[in-house]
Amino acid sequence: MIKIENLTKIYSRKQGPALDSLSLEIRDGEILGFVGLNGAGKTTTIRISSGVTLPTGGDVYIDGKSVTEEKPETSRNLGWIPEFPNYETNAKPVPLMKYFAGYYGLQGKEAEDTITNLLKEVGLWEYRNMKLRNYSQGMKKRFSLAESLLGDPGNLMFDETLNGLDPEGVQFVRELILSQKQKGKAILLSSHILSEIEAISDRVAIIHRGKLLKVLTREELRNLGLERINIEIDNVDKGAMGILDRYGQVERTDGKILLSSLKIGRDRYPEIVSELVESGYRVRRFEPFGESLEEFFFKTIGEER
Amino acid sequence: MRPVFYEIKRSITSKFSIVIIIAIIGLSALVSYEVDASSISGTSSASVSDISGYYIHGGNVTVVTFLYNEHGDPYTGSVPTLIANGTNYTGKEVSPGIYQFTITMKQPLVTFYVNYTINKFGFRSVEQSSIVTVNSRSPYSGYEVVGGLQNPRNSSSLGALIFYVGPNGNTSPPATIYLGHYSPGSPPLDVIKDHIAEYNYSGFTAVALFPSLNASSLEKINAVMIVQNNVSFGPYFVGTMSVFTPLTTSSIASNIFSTVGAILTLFIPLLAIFMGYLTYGKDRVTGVLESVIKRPITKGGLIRSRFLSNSVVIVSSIVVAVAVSDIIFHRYNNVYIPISLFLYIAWAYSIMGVSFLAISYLFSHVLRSLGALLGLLIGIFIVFDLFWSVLFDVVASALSLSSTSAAYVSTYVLFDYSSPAGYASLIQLFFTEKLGSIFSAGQSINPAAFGVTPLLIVIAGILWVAVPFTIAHILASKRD
Repeated sequence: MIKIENLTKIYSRKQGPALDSLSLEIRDGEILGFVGLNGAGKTTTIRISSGVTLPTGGDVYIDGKSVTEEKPETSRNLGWIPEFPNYETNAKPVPLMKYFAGYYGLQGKEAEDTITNLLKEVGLWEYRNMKLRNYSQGMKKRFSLAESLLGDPGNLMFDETLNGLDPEGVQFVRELILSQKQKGKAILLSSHILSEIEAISDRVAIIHRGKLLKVLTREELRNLGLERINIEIDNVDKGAMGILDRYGQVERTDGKILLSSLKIGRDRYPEIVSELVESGYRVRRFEPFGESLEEFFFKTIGEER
Repeated sequence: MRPVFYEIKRSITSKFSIVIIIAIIGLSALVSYEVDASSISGTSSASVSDISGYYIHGGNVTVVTFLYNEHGDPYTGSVPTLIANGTNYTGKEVSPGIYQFTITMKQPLVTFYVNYTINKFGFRSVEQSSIVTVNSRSPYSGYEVVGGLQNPRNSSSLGALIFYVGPNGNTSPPATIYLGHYSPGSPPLDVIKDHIAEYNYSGFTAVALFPSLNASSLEKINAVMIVQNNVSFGPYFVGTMSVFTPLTTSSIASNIFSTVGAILTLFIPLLAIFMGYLTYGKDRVTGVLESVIKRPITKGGLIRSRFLSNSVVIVSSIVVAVAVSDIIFHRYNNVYIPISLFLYIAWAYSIMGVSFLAISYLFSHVLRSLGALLGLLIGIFIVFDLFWSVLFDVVASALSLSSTSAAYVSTYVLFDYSSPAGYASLIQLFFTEKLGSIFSAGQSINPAAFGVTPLLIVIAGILWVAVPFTIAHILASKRD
């Protein structure tokens, strides 16, 4: 479990805080989508959690241990996959991973077996004799995935890992993330590809200018923002439109009706259907729906601006 | 693999480190060889020499050749060949190191020389004796004396070899051998009167004599007189009995500092600065270090680990270079560097190297641009290592300091304390009581009078390493 408490980071006094008392919790077996504009503070949050950057205030707890106080223990249980993985240019994957493995107490055959399995898992085994400088960006990301899983950490942070990957790569990472989730790991997934976030996240945290604006649950994700209803009725006429007009704003296009700006709550939706039926209209479709995450995100950000 | 081993391996196996380490060890060896080999001459080095005599019998002449090492002991590693009138004759060993050749004497004068093969650094080398002429009017060669033997028990004193071939190849009859001081122009018998050693031998072909010398005998010219049945032979000149200046810790230190020291002073800061840049500074500025910091290690732990790894490589290079130099020194002087001096030299250059390394680490945390960092480190190397002595000369010149004045030495010492590259110079001053080439004409200075004491040297060394590294450590731990 990852627990972020009142995390604050000020890089320069001339600028505002990169993070402003951010608090967040990622539970075991959960994927938390982490979204925000560039400069919102996503990467800073992840870097602080990884122990690479020091916080100005607050702390991050990995499985109950403080990043600022017990960094080696927290790093042992946290894998960070950065947006732009950066390694020694002349290193080859296996020797470098053996070096990294040493930090997790993996030695000898145990280390070799682990490295072999991880490189095979990410599809780099056949490229193990190439120097990392000759790897493509996608291969570097795959290598980053492999080396971040050394020591089998219970918590993972993906920072824009999907960026720059081809569709196959995106699918591979998605499946890897889901398989790690099934192992009960706490996963923070930062990405600009909101459709991916929406598809695999259990919750989504929206961050803007260092502040947490909202955390959406899976249920809320399905019904984001102000709801609308798609309605299809046989023989639509002014009477039907008049009925619907009392419940919200009606738009009609190509025989389909969109009811928005609803004046009643979800629990009273059956009233609309009942009144239409009682008035002799045949309702073929009545489908409430919310906004997409992208729409919701920009609306939320816009309100904050 | 334990991370520190990987880091040591990485420190050693970068192309730059390989080149510099090979340069350090190779050039140290070459310079040591050049200096040590050229400072030794004749039989005083570990070498093989020859001496030949003869006797005439019937129409033949038998040449007796003795091959001996630097101590006058028989050398049996080669069967010599005698060349006379274009014909080769193989020697017959009659006793260890003594070979005989019998040739027909067709003319009243026979000229010959002897070839033999010895090992030099693992290679076979053919040595050729000087040309010897046999005159039929002298039926045997009698006594011959050569000096320059090295006393195996005291490398500072020499000895003389007495070689005798009598009629029919007989060994020497009973003889009294006097070895004494000789003044050019004085009667030969003065050697007997002023002898420093007297020996009685008989029945020998070759015998080595090593007189006990006192201080007054060191620089004197000596000669040998041999008295046999009240007949005197000689004087045979053997030169001084001590071509060696007795080796002292100071003279050994001067030798080592002038050979391997010169190489280390140039290359160790270069190795340290750029090893720090390549394995730490560059990784830090480009973000490569983050791939390690995210492991179960603190930032402080990482900088300590890398610093330790780099230091191990630097110190190892120094120890190997000095050890190789020591072996070469021993090859030509028959003594090893005293262990205390070895440790002081290793300490001096290790402090120098590790200080430059610490400075490299420090600036890796100050600058965030790769170009700026590299430029600054090159500048530090140039100023503090290459041009530090030039800066001193400029200052001394500007202050019109006489090179024999105390102010000059004080300024010199101050400069040495002010740069890690000057640290070895302080140790050298402490051991040799000389500052580089200054006061080289035998004039010594008292190091303590100029603030060069063991305590201050140790403190200065610790500070040069600890201060920049501690600051680098704090910056690494407390700053992003």
